[in-house]
Amino acid sequence: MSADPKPEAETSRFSRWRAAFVLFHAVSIIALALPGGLTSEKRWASKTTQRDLADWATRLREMGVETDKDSLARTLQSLAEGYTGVQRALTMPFGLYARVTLSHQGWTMFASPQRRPYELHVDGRVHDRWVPLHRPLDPEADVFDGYFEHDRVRKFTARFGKNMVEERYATFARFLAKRAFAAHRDLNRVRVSLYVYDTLPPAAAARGDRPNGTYEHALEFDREAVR
Amino acid sequence: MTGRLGGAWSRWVAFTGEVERASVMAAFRIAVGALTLATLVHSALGDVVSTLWIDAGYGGAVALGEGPWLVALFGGPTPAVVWTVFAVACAASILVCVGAGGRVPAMVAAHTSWALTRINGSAGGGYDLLITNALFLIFVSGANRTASVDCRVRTGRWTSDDLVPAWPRRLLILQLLVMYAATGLQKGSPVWNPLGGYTALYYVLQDPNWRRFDLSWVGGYMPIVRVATAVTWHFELGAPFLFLWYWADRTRARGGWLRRALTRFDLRKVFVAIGVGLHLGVFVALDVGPFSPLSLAYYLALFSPDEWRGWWARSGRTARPASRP
Repeated sequence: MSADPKPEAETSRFSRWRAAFVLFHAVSIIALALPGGLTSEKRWASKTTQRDLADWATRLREMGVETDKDSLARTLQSLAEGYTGVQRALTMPFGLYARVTLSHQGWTMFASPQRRPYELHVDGRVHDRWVPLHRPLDPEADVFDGYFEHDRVRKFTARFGKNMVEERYATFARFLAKRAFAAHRDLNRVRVSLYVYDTLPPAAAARGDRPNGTYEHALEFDREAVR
Repeated sequence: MTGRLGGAWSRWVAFTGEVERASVMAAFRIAVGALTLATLVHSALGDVVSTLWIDAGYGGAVALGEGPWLVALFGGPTPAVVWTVFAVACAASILVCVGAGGRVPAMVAAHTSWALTRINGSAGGGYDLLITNALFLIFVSGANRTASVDCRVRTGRWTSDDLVPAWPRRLLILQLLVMYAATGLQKGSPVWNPLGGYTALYYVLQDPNWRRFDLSWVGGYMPIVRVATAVTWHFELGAPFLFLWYWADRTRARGGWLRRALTRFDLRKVFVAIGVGLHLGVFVALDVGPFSPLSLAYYLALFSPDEWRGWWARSGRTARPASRP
């Protein structure tokens, strides 16, 4: 980092305040970026975390460490509680500052990739036959005209797979049904559901096999009911 | 001890008092302003504003409550409030991009765009943080001193050699490296590390929520996927070590084997080569919004204005003869 020094040495009060501010901001970035939410019961109970724990326990046993998923979870939760106390103390002085300057941090990106992903499926009944109205990456089933392709919509729907909030899911499903009915006059019923499956092993995926999944959280709507 | 601390403080005061040309911060300002505007417009065109930021009671998709303080202040996520905040955010982003109106538009753009994304936090992502973090540092940087409407009004020219503080650009470097380190630290799933066979990217690329197109074929290239996973995770965890290079480069004159070893080659170029490769890969394969272009905008800050100026001049010298018949 080569920068020109100022022509005259700055010894003013301003330069000291500025230095203090830059230091404060730098420390705030580091402190606020410390991983948080590690004691969240929801997080520990999530299927993804449970699967990661099981995998860690298996790997550790293979390395000769006697443990199982539950005891590993207890140990890690205890460590997380201790850590969270320190993390909260470190971040506390910067809360208001982060809210004013919007220098919030939070960088949980693909921390635990879904190995049992969810797809949002929408189907409509025309007379006595169900037809797909939405499937990811399927232009043949896209009655919503690319709506689900937007990254924010992807983020929003992905949360249902990770942390289901029934009430919000039901409201969103109703909204989708309403839109589907508006787009297709011949529909008499719409079904919104989450299709869940285990990600195929690499060789099977490369062979062109399709994952076999099951439907969860299926909600059906009549045209009259969503008016 | 007090003397050493006092010495360190004096050096820090001098360090934060250094100045440089405004060109890098101006380029960053233009990129962030344009990307903020593009993100907003993309949200409007993609029906996100009217469905995910407006409450179900007014035609939106879900119940959203009162919203963040800026939205709640004017009555909550109703169409009138949300579209007004949206319009202000767009206008402020344009002003940031063209460098008009001084520093204020940066903070207006930050607070309005942040308020919009916080109406429905479930539809937000890491790039929302990158935008607001960037806009605050643009606000404090004096990035309008060149390549801006303000510069044109002030000097009659579009560019100037005015000097601005160097510390905002340095904080951008810190922000970038902290982001990588924090995301690397939080990758706690065994699939990110050797115990899980470095298979994380395979699962990420199969996730229907993020992939842009069918990527099942990558299962036939697992050695490459494992290398890419390993490079990604170790790059993120190792990012803070770039600070060591900066320290060694800055104090090169003091000598010593560590400084000599660290500065044998420009570690930033390795960092940029890997980082750009990763972000381009993410951009092509996954739809995670403008995360990659925003991250890459931060890369501008890795090099000082003088370094960019030197490369620009050299490329001009080599390009001119080649362009002659």
